[in-house]
Amino acid sequence: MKRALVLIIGLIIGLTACGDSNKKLPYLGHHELNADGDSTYHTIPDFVFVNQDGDTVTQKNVEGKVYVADFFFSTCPTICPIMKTQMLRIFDKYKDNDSLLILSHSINPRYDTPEVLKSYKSKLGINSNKWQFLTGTETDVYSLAQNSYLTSALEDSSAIDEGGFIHSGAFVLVDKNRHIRAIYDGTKEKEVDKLMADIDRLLRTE
Amino acid sequence: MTGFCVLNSACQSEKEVKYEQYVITGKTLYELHCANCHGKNGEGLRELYPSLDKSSRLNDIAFVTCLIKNGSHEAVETKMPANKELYNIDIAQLITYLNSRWGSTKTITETEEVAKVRCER
Repeated sequence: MKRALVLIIGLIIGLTACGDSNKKLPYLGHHELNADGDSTYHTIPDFVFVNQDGDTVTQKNVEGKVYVADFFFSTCPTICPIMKTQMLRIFDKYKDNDSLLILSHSINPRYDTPEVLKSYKSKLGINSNKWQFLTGTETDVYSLAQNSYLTSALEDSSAIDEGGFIHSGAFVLVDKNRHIRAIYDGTKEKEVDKLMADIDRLLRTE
Repeated sequence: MTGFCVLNSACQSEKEVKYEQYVITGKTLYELHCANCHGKNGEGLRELYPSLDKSSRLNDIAFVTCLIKNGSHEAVETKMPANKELYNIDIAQLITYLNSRWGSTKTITETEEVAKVRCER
């Protein structure tokens, strides 16, 4: 199952890696036809999380914004530090651009309380609403990761070296209408270069 | 190899070769076990993970050995994990690399020096 997921993510990354810079980004996920025969695209459903300040964050906070979503946990000893290094590059590039947000979801919400996330965010040197660190319930975050963001996040006590959780290092690019437009490997600098080029393209053309 | 070195007076001494080997293997170990948090170039990650560049205790073999073996619980969320899978020779090679790259002493740390260290836990 894990391998299949990795394969799917790999395929998506492979697919999104093609195409020239003027081509429109594809819509990922399941497409359906509505009663009028028009395509409806996979959409991130409504959500409710709590951020590092204890404030509620919902789909209303991302209304009309392009955003990048990822999944992590504060005590993660493996890929999270690399993902955060890469996410910092995105944050630094768009820190003065109000059209872009970053949502980092904790997949260990029992440990990652708002207080823990507040301290994590502050140690990362982020003093801005642009980058939100979110916590909620396990059920919500795992279901959101797997079903909505087409990525993986699970608790697995046998994954000792990974800190007890399995998650992908994906950065998911979501457009102003909550459609997923591309998924990148957030542990690779080159992938993140491409993500930033695609953010520019989305902000410029849509 | 030794024969070749005898013939070639410009060749490195056995001691220098061993030092180079420790540095190279230490670098591989560093990238495998440490670079995720401390960064490929020892830069750390802001206040979450300390930079090694400015560390003044890299040549304190007992301190670094116990830190690698037992980890550190100083930072709550981002505490350093214990590296129980590393042997003394791995730790010696790591410390040799750390010092070659960021320390002031460019000498080998021998496995015996690491083996002598008694950690509290």
